[in-house]
Amino acid sequence: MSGPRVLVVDDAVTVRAFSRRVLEADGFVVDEAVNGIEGLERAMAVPPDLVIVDVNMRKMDGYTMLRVLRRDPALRDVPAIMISTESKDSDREQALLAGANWYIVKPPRPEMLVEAARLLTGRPPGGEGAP
Amino acid sequence: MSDLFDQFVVEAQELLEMAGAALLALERDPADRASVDELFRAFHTLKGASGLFDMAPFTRLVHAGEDTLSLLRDGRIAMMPDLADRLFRALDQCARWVAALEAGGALPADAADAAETLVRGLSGRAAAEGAAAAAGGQADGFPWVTTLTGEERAAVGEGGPTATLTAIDYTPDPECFFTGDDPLALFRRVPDLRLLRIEPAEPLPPLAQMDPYRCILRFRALSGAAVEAVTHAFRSVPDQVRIGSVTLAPAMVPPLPVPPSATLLLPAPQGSLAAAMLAEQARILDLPGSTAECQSRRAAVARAVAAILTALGRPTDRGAVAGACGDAAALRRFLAEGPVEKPVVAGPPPAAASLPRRALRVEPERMDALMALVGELSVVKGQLGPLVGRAGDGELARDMKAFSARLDALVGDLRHAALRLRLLPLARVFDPLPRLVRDTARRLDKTVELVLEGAETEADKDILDVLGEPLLHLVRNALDHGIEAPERRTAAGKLPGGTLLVRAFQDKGGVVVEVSDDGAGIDPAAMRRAAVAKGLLEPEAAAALADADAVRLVFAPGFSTAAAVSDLSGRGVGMDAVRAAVERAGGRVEIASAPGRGTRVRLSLPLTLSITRVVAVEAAGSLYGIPVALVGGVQRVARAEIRAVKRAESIVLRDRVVPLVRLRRLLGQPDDERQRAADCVVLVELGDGPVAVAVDDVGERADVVLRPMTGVLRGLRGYAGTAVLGDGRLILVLDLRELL
Repeated sequence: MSGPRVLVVDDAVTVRAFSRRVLEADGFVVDEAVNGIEGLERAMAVPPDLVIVDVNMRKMDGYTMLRVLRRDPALRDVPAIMISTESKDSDREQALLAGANWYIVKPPRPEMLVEAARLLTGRPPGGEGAP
Repeated sequence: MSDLFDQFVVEAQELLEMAGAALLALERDPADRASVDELFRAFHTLKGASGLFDMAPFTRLVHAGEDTLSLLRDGRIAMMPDLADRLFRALDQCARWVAALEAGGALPADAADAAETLVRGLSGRAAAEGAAAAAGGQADGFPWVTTLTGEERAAVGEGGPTATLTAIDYTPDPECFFTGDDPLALFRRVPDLRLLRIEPAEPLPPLAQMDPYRCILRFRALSGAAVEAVTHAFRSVPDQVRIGSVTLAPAMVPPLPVPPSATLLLPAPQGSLAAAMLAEQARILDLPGSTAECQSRRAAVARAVAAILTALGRPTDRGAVAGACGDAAALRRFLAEGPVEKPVVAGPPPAAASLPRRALRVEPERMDALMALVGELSVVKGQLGPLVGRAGDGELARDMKAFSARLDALVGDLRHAALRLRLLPLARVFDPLPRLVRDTARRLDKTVELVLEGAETEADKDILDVLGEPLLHLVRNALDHGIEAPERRTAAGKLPGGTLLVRAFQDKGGVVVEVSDDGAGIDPAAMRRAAVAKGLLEPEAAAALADADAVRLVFAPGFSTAAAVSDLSGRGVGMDAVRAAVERAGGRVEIASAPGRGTRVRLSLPLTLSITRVVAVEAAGSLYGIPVALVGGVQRVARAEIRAVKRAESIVLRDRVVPLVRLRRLLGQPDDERQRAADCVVLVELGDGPVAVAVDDVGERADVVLRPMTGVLRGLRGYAGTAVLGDGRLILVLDLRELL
């Protein structure tokens, strides 16, 4: 049985690989995209259970991607985590305004990322498997 | 996490290259927004990615770079050559660190200091102070304190979250073992020692040259005790130690002992991530926005809340949740109806999982083994042809022929595919050129436009390795001695800025790289005079030299090393080294120059070192191979056209006198007794002009795997190695430079 599907959108291959490793080890199915446009394309092709989106990306940044995602009838309720190197309150506010449900400061700690992903996809924190 | 680390190394290399290119573009056109953005993004991405690992100095430096670029982006500072220099230095430092990370997995010991220097230089005092404040430390005079690793910070921070500590910088006298100071014993006397770092004070010499009686270490430490107490411990060595008070702000003292959720920005932490998330969802409902925006936020919040509740073991009806998501107060009430259970913190530690890989990295040895096998296969396949020929005309023979033909095609394809595996674009050797040209031109106060063409041309990795150095050399020489200073150019009626064209293309199954400039060119008369002055040529011989040959003197060993050549507006040092490197790889160098108009140097190299294309020639009943790269042509020359002066023979080709040598004589074989009207001649280009080599016959051209001579044959001069032709016949590949 496959676990919840997470779409990781980040232009840094290292960050994507990190997220993939951490999430896959916890049973998530991970999909990747390198910018907002590709992220939307992936999400429309295979609707994810959660998106984790970087802010600063070429072509289309994370804010724009979330705004477009929230306008799409099929994807508007997909939980979203925004992840960024900025730790200011104003950046967090911006993320929530764009449509994020949660904000994580880079670099994320593996257990934080997993726990947030678990909560937003309805899996018990720390437990095994999907309910 | 080593895979992840490898990935970081590769990504960092790419980003640094990208940043370098963007910086060059930006310096050229300071209004180029796209390049500023590109550069900013590269630094930003590097900051994020490096943060995943324990490499604080790296992160600090790229962070400072990002800050500088953000000022630039906002128009608060302007792009100046000085700033470009500093950014280049930062990029160079990062590149060196990445190389160190790739080789040893860690930053060098002096990384913190290097970062500190560059950060200060990069963004000026103000930004450096800002960065130090961001790192959370008051550490005047002890910059390394702001770059402690997580582990070190944890160790230091045990005394409390905000700590005033005493920092110690102790560089013992190298002779301290003789003066009776024992550095370690001194530290044992330091009260409340929290951290002790022992580092080499200078780069460590090779083991063989290490003097065990000299102390070349540097000690850095933090103590919880007061400055006076620490100073007392070091009273015997006041001249070698610096002691001072530093303040560590909480941000700097350790994330480690703090519960995980504290690294997130919790507006109202209620004991768990789940509670914080639920609170945040309620807050989202209060955010301003259009009706459509608020509607979709409600949908997202409802789904997130339902998921969180399910995760907490309180599965709730989606409809009920959605109904409660009308506004923040309603949601808070809904959630308050049942207490949110405190979740079990932290999932299982992430286990190793497979990573996606776009590019495959293969050990060079494995590639070589594959190439050798493909070579062997070609040879064995070649022996099938004659066998099939002996099988006659029966049905079996026909089938065998068809089978053999198919096998031929497959082996050919296989060899082609294996060869392609090793091919890389020349962009790899072109990449450093824009930077080199920029720096050199700046140093020389010249204006030079670099034009690169054919960077996508491919060649074997070995060839790229051979090409790199000579190419840098040629470009440097062209800037140094070819392209004139702006005043001189203007005086000569040229544009003040020079142009340097570096162009690559494939030709005759090999790869050609040309470096052309529109500079002063080389004056053949000056070259002749210099050759005479250096005692390389007699005045008569020099005078007899054709202009093209006089220019070619730059490649003569011992000629171009003369400092005097620089004054001839000719080429500078090391052209003979360029020639030697290229020829070792089986290639050749040509030069053409027009005084006042410019110079073009052309390097022709085989596509690969593992397979050599040869022309098979016959002499005295044996087969030999001559690398095609050296062959300028094959032709028949009538006996009557061969002039002989004593035993030295020559022919005239395209108005040039070309010496003729007989391969039989070179190899110590008896002369051909047959009376022939014409001789078969292979024109060989060795860089000093063509030489005609007379052979008995010229055969096919073939790609062969060259094997060096082994065993007793190893000492034999004049042969590059042995090879087997497609039909299984053995040939000796000649090293004509040695023979001639």
